Amino acid sequence: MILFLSVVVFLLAAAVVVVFAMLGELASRVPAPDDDGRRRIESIDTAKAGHRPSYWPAALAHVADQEYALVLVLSSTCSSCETIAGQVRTMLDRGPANLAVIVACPARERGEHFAAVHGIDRHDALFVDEDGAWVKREFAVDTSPAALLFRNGTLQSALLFWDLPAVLNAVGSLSTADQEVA
Amino acid sequence: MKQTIMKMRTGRRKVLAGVGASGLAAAAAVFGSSTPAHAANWACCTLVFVPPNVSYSSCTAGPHYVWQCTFGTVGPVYRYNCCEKKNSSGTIIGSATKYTCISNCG
Repeated sequence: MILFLSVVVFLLAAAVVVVFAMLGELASRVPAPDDDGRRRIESIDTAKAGHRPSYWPAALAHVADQEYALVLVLSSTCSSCETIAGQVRTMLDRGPANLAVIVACPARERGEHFAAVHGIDRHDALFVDEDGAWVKREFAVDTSPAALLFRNGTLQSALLFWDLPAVLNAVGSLSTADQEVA
Repeated sequence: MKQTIMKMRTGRRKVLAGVGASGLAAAAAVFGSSTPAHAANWACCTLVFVPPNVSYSSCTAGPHYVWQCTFGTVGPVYRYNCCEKKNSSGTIIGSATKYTCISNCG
């Protein structure tokens, strides 16, 4: 009887070892995250490059005064924007004057909720754009995450991105501090 | 002797009560701040109704909000239109998506 139980225990131990070995093998076969894919950046060809808005929302008024400014367009209906919003919070906390965030949303409360969840609601440089009406009307941008690069208040380029450091590198160094955050 | 046993029992109960209270506090901290909105992800969209519960044409027929996102980094890449259907008072009453393959469509 003892011999039988010993064999059973041995087999169970061996089975556990095999299971872990299989898990290890499966893990080794899972492809690594596609960093190149995440780092890619696309130009939004339909955006109104060269356009200068006739009206700036109060939260974005400072953008018009900067020689160079970056406005990130996020949306409460965009799942990858959630990751970006978490990264942006750190940047906003440092308070660069040439950075602002637009949160496009189907309803104001959803935009405010999105901002609150990701900790960007306490910043003055946040504009909750209901229906994305302003950013659509002014720049024909209705996709996100997007980065709008302004020079003296005029849209220079609009980029679609998936990784914040990648887009910061692409638009150039707005400030050394921002690069460090990224 | 009897007193010592009673003290040990009381002490054990206090420890267990402390563990229980700590667990409840931790659970409340993690799960207690539930969000008023219960949106969920569908491809690259974050929608109020998942899975989408109306057709795209129905969504865009009345008051609505449409936003685009891109789904996929390896293999086919899709451009999604995420649509939230609203009623006349602005409440979201339905969700829909439409997608087109824009790269590596094979």
